[in-house]
Amino acid sequence: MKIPNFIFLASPHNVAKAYLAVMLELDLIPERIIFTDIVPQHRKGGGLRSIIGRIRNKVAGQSPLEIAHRVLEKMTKRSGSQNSNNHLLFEEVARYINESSLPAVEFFKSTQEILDEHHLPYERIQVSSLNDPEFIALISKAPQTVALYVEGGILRKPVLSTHVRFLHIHPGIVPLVKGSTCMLWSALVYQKVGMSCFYMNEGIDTGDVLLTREYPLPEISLSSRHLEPQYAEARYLALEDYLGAAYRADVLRALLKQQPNPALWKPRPQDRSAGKQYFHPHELLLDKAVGKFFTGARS
Amino acid sequence: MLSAKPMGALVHFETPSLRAGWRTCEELIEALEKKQVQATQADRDSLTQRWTESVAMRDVIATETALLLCFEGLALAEAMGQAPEDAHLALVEKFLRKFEISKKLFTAYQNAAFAAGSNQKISQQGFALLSVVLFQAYRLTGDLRYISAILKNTFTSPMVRSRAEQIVETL
Repeated sequence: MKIPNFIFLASPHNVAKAYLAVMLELDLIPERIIFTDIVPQHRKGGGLRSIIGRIRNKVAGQSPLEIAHRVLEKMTKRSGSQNSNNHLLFEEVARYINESSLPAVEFFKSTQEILDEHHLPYERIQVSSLNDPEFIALISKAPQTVALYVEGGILRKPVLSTHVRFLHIHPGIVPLVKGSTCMLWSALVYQKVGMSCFYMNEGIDTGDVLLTREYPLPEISLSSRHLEPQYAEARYLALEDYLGAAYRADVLRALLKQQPNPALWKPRPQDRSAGKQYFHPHELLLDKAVGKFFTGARS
Repeated sequence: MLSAKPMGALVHFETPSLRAGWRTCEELIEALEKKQVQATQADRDSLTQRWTESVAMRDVIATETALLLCFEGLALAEAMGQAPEDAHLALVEKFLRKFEISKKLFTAYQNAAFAAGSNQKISQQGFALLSVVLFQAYRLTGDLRYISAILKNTFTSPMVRSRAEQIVETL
C-alpha cells in the first residue's frame, strides 16, 4: 500500500535506512522517493582551513597556540572516528538494536542498496541543503503535500513557504527539550529518551506535534575494549547515528500504525514559550551522557 | 550605579546586604555557599530600582551592567531563600544563547530584539562575568546548560571551573 501524498526524502544517513526499514516492515511505500545527496558548500574548501574556521568560531578568545592544539586534537579525533575498529563497536550497538523491540535496521547496507533491493523507484538530486533553490523548485511542483525530512540543515522560510509540510522526528520531548544533541540531554536531565514527531516551522523544534514517545534508558553492554577511553567518540557516534536512528524509526512506525494517511493526521500546536533550547554539550557533559546508555563490559 | 569592573577585580555591590565592602563575585559565591549572606526587602527594592533604570527602561542595555545586575539578583534570591526573578533568568537565557550560538558577546544589545548594538566585542571581563552569572543561575535552577557553557568559556575563573567540573563528576 502506498502512503498517499507522501514524499520520503531519502539520504545516505542511517536515519533514512531506519525509516525505510519501518515503512517496508509495515508494507507502506511512500508515494514518492527523492534521494537527496547533501553536499554542504563549506566542504568544497574543507580540510585544515575548514577545521580551523569552525574552531575559531567555537572558542572565545583563544591564543593561536591553543587553537593549533585544538586543531591537532580535532584531526586526531577525526581519524579516530574513521578507524575501522569503530565498525566493530557500531556492530555491537546495531546488534543491540536488532535484538530489542526497536525496528530492525540494515545499517551496513547503503540506502541505495536497500531501495534497489526492494525495487523502490526514486529520483536523485544533489543539493547543498534543502534550502537550495533547485530543491525548492522541485518540491514546489510536487503534487504531494507531506515530506519526511531526514537531513539537510535548518529549513528557511522559502522552502517552508511551499505547499509541502516537512515531517521531522526529533530526539527530545518537545517543548521541553529542543535544540541540539537532545537525546543525550534527555538522558542527563530526565534520565530517559524522548522522541517527538512534528511538522517543521521556522522556529527551532517548535512545529505542530503529531506524536511523542518516551523510552527508559537502554542498557547497552559492550565488549570491554569498546568501553576504553579511545572509543569515547565512537560510542557517541553509535548513539547519534545508530540508536537515535532506531528510536526515530520507532516513532515513525507508531505514527504510521496509528494512521497511514497523512491527510488524517491531527497535529497540535506547541506552547512555543515552554521548555528549553539545548546546545551541544561540553565534552565532559557529553561523556557523562553517553555513559548513561552503556552498562559494563559484556562477558 | 555599579562601581567597578566585575571579574579579576573587586566589585562594589550596591545592594545593602551584599555590600560588605568590596569583593569579587567568587567571594560572594563562597559566602553564599557558607550561608553567610543575609538580605532583606530593602536589598530587593534597591536592585529593582537599578534594574529598572539600567535594563528594563533602556532601549540599549550595557552587557556588563546587565550581567552584574543579573548576578546581584540571583545572589539576592539565594540569600533571601526565594525563587529567582523571571526577568533575571530571561536575560541570562538571552546571553546564554548569544554565547552558545556565536561565541561572541558585544558591549551592548538592543533591549527588544537583543541584537548587537555595536561591532565591538566585550572584554575578557565580560566573558568571565557571564560564567559567574551562569554558575549562580545553576545554583538556583540546577540547569545543566549553564554548566556546559561555563566549561566552554575560556575565561571562566579556576574557582568556578573547578566547581563546574565537580558538578559534572556527580552526574
